[in-house]
Amino acid sequence: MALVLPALLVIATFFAMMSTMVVASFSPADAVQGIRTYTLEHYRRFLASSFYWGYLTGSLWISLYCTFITAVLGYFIAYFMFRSSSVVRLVVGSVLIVQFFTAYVIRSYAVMLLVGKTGFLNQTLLALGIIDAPLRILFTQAAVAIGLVQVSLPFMVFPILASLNAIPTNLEMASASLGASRFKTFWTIVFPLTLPGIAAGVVVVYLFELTSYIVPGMLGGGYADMIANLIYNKAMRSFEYGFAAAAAVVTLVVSAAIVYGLNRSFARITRYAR
Amino acid sequence: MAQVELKDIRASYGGVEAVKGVSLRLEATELVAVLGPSGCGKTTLIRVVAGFVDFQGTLLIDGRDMARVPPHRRDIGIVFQDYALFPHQTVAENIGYGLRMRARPRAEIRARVDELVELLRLGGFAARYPSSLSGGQRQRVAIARALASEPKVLLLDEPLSALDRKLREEMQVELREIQKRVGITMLFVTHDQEEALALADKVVVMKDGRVRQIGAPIDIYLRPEDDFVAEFIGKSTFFDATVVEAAPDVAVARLPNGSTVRVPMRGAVPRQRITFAVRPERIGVSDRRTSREGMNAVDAVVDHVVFLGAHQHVRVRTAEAQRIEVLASNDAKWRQGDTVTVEWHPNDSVVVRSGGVPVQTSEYREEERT
Ligand SMILES: Nc1ncnc2c1ncn2[C@@H]1O[C@H](COP(=O)(O)OP(=O)(O)OP(=O)(O)O)[C@@H](O)[C@H]1O
Ligand SMILES: [Mg+2]
Repeated sequence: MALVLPALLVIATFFAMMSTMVVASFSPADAVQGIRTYTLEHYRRFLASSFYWGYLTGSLWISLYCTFITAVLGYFIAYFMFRSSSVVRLVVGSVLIVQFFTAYVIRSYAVMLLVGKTGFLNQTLLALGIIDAPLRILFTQAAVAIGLVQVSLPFMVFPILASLNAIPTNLEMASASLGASRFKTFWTIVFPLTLPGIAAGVVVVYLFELTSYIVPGMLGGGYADMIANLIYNKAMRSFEYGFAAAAAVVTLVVSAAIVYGLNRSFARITRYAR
Repeated sequence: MAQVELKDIRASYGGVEAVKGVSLRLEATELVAVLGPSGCGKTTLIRVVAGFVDFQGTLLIDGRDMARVPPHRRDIGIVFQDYALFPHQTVAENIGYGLRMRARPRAEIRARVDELVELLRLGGFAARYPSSLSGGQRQRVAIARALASEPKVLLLDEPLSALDRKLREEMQVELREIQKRVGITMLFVTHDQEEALALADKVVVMKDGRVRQIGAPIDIYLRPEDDFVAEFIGKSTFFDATVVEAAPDVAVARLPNGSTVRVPMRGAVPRQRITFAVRPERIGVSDRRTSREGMNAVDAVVDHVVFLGAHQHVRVRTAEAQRIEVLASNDAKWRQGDTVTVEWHPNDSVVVRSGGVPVQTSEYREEERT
C-alpha cells in the first residue's frame, strides 16, 4: 500500500491541474472574483473561427506528415544499427542519446544554423550550382518540419530497435530455409514483427510533435506557429486564460481520441501475441 | 530423398573452431542421428548444412557442391530446437509459408496445408496462432512447415528436447513413421542417447567438434570404439587390466586384484595395458557358490541397491574399491553388505582402450634378443 501512495499523489496532482484548466475554460472572461458563473464563449470563439482552429488542424497535419517522415527515417536508422557491428551500434546510439538529452533550444538553434540563409544547406546547394539564390527555409513550415523530425527521431529509433532485437535469429533462418530471399524475409517476417515498435514510436512522436512549442517558435519565427504557440500567446501575452484553457482542452480531447484510435488499430495488428 | 556428403567440414566462430573436420555421409531416405554432449558442435553442423555459417571442406547434396548456394536455394527443411514458428502467422499460414515463398498456386497451397494438418494431427488448430499451442503441437507445426515444400533433406535440431518424457516418446514414434511415409533424408541432432538409438538408421557420436564413431545403433552400443563412446552411450563399467597371455582372438588379462579374466581382443601383446567396458545389463550377480564355468568372475560386496520396477540397479565394490554397476533382474533380493560374485561372459566385454606395451627395461630387451 505504501508504494501506491506516491502514485496516488501524482494522479491527484494531475487531476487537480486538469480540473483547474477545465474550470478556467468555462469561466467568463469578465468573471467577478468569488462569483461562479459558467460560459461556453471560449469554446464558441475557438471553434467558430477558422483562424483559431486552423492552428489545431495545421498542427495535426504537420505532425502527421512529420511523424510519417520520422517513422521512415527512424526505421532506416534502427535497421542500420540492428545490422551493424556492436561498435557502430554503440556510436550511433550514443549520438542519438546525446542529442536526446540536449535542450530543444540548442538543437533547434543547430537546425537554424543548418537551414539559414547562409547556412550549410544553402551554401552546399549554391556551391554545387543546384540553386542560384539561397532558398528561404528558415521561418517556414519546412524548417519547422525538419526541426520536428530531428528532435523526435530518438523516440522512434529506440522502440523500433528494441522490437528488432526481440526477433529470434532463428526466425530469419527458418524463413530462409523455407525459400524466402533476404528481401522477402524482411517483408514477411521482420517488418511485421517490428510493427509494435513502430506503433509505440508513432504514438509518442505524434503527440510530442503535436504539442511542440520551442521548435515551431524558433524555426517558424512566428510564421509557422503551432497550437501550443497559440495557447502560450493567449495565456502569457494577452492574458486570455479562459480562451487558452479552452484551446488546450480541445487539443487534449483530440489528442486523447487520436491515441485511442491508434492504440485500437495497433492492438489489432498485434493480436497474435495473446 | 537426397544424398548428403560432408567431407572434412570445419567451421568456426570468430577464430574458435566449433567443428573440426567432420566427414559424414547420409544415404537417401536415411535417418542419421548426431549425438554428443552440449557444445560439441551439433547445431553448428546443422547450420553448415543449411548454409548459415561459413565452412571449409566440401558439402555435397546429391553430388552438387553447396559452397555457393545460398540457404534459400538449398531446398532443406529445418526444425529448430525452439521451433522458430512465425508468431504473427496462424498455424495454416506457417505451414504454407514455404509454398507461398515459392509462389505456388493458392489452391495447391491449401490442399497441401490440409494434407499436412491431417498427417500431423493438427486438425482444429489451423486458424490458431502459435502462442496458443502446447509444446507438442508447436513442434508438430514446425515439422509440418518444414515438410510442406517437400525439401530434399530435413534437419532437426533437438526437436524433442522441450517435451516431457511421454510426449517425447510418442513423437519419436511419430517422427519415425513420418520419415518412412515421406521417405525423406533426415539429419537429427540430439543429446539424448536413447532417442538416437531408438530412431536412427545410423548414429554419429561427436565430441569437441570431432566424430568419435559412426555406426548402426547396435554397433555403437555393443561395440563402442573408444572409452568416450562407451561412457556416453549407456552406462558402462570400465576395468583396467594387463595382458598376461595372448591368443589370436582372446587375451587373458589380470585385474588389479590379481584375478584373471578373458577379453575378446586381437593382436594383444603380453604386458600390454588395456581398458575394457562391460554393460550393466550384461553382468550377473550371484552367491559365490553358483559361479558358472567359462565366465569371468570377480568377488565383490554390495554397496547400493536401487529398485527400478522391472530391474534393480546394484552397485558393488571389489576389495580394491573398483565399482561395478549391475542391472539385475528383480527376483533376487540384495542387501547392502552382501558378499557376492559378479560375472559376465567374455564376449560381453569390449576393449575400449589399449595402450602400448609398458616401458621395458633394457635388461628385458637383452633377454628378448637372445
Ligand atoms: N554464434 C556463436 N558465436 C560464438 N561461438 C558460438 C556460437 N554458436 C556456438 N558457439 C560455440 O561453438 C561451440 C559449438 O556450439 P553448438 O551450438 O554447435 O553446440 P551444440 O552441440 O549444438 O550444443 P547444445 O547441445 O548445447 O545445443 C560451442 O563451444 C559454442 O560455445
Ligand atoms: Mg545445439
